[in-house]
Amino acid sequence: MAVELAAVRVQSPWFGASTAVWTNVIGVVLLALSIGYLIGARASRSAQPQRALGVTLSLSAIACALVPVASGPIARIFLPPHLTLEQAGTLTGWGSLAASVCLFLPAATALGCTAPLATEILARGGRASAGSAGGRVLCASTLGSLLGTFATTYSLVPNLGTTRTFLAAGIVLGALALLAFFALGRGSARNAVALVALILPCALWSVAARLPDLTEGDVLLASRESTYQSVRIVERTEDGSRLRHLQVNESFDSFQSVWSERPGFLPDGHYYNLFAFPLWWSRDITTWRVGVVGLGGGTAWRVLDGAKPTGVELSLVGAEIDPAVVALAREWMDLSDQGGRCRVLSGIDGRALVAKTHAGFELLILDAYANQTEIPPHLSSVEFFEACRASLVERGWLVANVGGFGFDDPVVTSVGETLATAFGTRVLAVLVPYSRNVALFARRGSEPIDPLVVPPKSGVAEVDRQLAAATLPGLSHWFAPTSGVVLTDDLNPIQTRQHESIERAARRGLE
Amino acid sequence: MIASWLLVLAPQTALETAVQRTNAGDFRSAWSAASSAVDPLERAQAKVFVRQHAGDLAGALDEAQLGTRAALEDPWLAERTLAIAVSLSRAKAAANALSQLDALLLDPNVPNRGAYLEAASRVRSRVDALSTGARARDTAESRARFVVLGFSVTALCALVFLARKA
Repeated sequence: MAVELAAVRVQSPWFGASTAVWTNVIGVVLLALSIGYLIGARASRSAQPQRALGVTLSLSAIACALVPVASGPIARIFLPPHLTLEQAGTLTGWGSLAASVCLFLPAATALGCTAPLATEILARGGRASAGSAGGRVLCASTLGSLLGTFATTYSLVPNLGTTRTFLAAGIVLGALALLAFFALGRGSARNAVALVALILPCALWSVAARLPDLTEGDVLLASRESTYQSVRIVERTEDGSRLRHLQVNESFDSFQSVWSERPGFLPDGHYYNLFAFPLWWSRDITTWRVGVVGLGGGTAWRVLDGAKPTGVELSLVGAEIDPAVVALAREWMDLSDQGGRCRVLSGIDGRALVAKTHAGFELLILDAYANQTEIPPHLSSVEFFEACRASLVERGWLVANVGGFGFDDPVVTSVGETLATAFGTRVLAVLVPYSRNVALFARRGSEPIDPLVVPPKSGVAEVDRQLAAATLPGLSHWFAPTSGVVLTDDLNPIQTRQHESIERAARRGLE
Repeated sequence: MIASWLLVLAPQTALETAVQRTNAGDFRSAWSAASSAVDPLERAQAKVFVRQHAGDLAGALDEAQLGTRAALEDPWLAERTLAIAVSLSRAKAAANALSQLDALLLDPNVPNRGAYLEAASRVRSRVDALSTGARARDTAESRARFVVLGFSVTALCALVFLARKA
């Protein structure tokens, strides 16, 4: 299990950690294990099953140790550099499956051999019947998997990193191989194999796995392995101003948070700018309590704080499930409590924040993504949106960022109709200029304003420019409540919709 | 003097109105002006201009391609199609637009030919990179499918063989 869990992490900087990647890794490992079981069963008939056990343990140790070193070059074979998400399209699925085969098949097959061999050794020792020996081996193997699962997620990967988790697994397997050979007695060749299996992971301890190349012009400031993902901060200079991007599991052109030196509107193409629209559309509200689901590095807060109308007071509470993201944002993106005006709930799921709040927010921002590009199902269901509605004051606003390619995009349509159904009113969708995102606006007990009506001049040129784009016909759309199928906690095919969305975009890109 | 009076007094074209209103941030009326243009080339140019400046790049590209498909041989439209396709990383659209622009610029009498030539040369390497990337992506997917297929067949054979022998 340690190898399986870490396997997804090894792939995630290249292919992401989507459900497709998880499925591919698990599928390859299961198939390899079943082949390994049969090879082990055959080898168990030999005169010395202990020797076969030592050999398979040695091979698995060597295979584990080589995974981090080989991961970059193998990923490069199946994923050319600098593709956009829509250009990659189906390549994340096929590429990660092929890479899984190349990377994890040897180690998992060798590990699969060990169970029948261990069973045979126990049974031949006369200490147990075949059934009893099999039961003991299965018990030990399952307990080992249990330990591997928890240790990998909560201790090894966050503390050692993915590369050293594989190497640690290699060292343990190498040590077990050595033990198996020692139990056999003399045999210098065998011991040498086991020693190689033990020494190789140790020798590679300081070698870093190759990660995807940075986009040209980006400078890496910090990176970290968290319980959830690989996180990094990169900086680039655009038109003389510095921009920092917080990225997770990235090899494409997306990012989770942005920091600019000056709070307020970001350069064109950033959906965060649209989060500030309600502050200008509802000028009668002067005190805004803002909730953010998916706070990330606190970009929403910086944009709102810098782009709010004069005299407006803001207080914010934001939930970010990954504490490592918050820690990096505090260090590199000026995320702070702003004298008590900004409360960060680190390690808290967004749904918990919404569930605990009743009629508390004037503005609720949904910007929660998992596994690089996926909207979590529990944060896109009609039940969740109903809870969001309940957390708003009367005529309060909800703004949701949805990644999608137009209003006919399967993800945008599904989420838009579900949101409208939960709120019982029409939902306004606005295409974010110069981007592949759509912002959805909903209000409790009221409809959002008609975007085609040119708003009165605010007196702030940048605000007028931002609001004006939404007045162009074709850049906005209404989603109405539906009596048809919506996304629910019980049945939520949002991930299928996301695959459809990316495939459609990839097809369009070829036109 | 008379000419400039005439220019001032002449009714504004739909394109000029669309540009003026776009620059003023009034995209709705700019779009109305663009849509009301009678000349198909002027209408296409105005619509592309409005959509591009409002940040609807995909919409602008659609309008530009509609215009070029309607056999509107206009270097401005071809150059805009090229620029937008490049910014959207649309390899095929960019390559087509570049070919079209190159073909149009063979005529030495094209107005502002120098500027168009410069614009084309500025993005030529980017268009090549996009095409190369698209080809590399297709090759990588074929390779991945081949590896997966090979593995699946081998694994099935191995399972059958080993299950009989085990």
